[in-house]
Amino acid sequence: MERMTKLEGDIEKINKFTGFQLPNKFKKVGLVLIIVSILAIVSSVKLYFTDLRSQDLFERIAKTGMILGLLMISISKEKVEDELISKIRMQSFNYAVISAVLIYSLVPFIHYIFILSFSKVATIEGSKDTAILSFLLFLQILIFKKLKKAYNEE
Amino acid sequence: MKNRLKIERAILDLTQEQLAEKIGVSRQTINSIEKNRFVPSTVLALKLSLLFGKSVNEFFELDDDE
Repeated sequence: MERMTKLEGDIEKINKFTGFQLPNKFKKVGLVLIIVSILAIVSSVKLYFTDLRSQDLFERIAKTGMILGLLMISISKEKVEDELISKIRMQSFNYAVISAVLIYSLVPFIHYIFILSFSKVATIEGSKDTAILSFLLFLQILIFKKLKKAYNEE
Repeated sequence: MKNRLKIERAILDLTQEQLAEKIGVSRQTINSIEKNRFVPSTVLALKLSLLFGKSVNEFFELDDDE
């Protein structure tokens, strides 16, 4: 009995978290954030900082701003948020994750082969991406198992 | 799944937009159901049933191969 209550609590928590969305107006906020961040990255604003460390920090903040802007657009509600939109959202997440994993898994090898055809000292690029992709997929598998268990508990 | 949504909507003389508003979905959702591209949930089917004053079976029907 106690276990069931825990699982019900789990599913409620997961529902709350997975169903989290921002209001529709965040689409515009996100777009503005992306534009400002891109301008900050491509412009020479960072050169106002004298030391290299501050320049790096500024650029990193701008890049994070761009990611957060994209996230805002991604998780903010449509004007009418109904079941068709939920389905489309789920399909698009699915497609995005699968293509991102496949592309990021293949690109280092394509890059390697491409460089190898010009030079003999080719190095394999990318290392952080494997950690991110593993984390993303691990999280998905974990949540999937947890949800499946929670939904089916008698 | 086959459906008679368009016919039922015509009987009530509603546009897709008006029907969508009455059951709290977008016009695109009504359109995609009518075009057989989207199968609605039971809740949505029951809302339509309430609005049309008919049972769900009268406007949604399984295909032969389903």
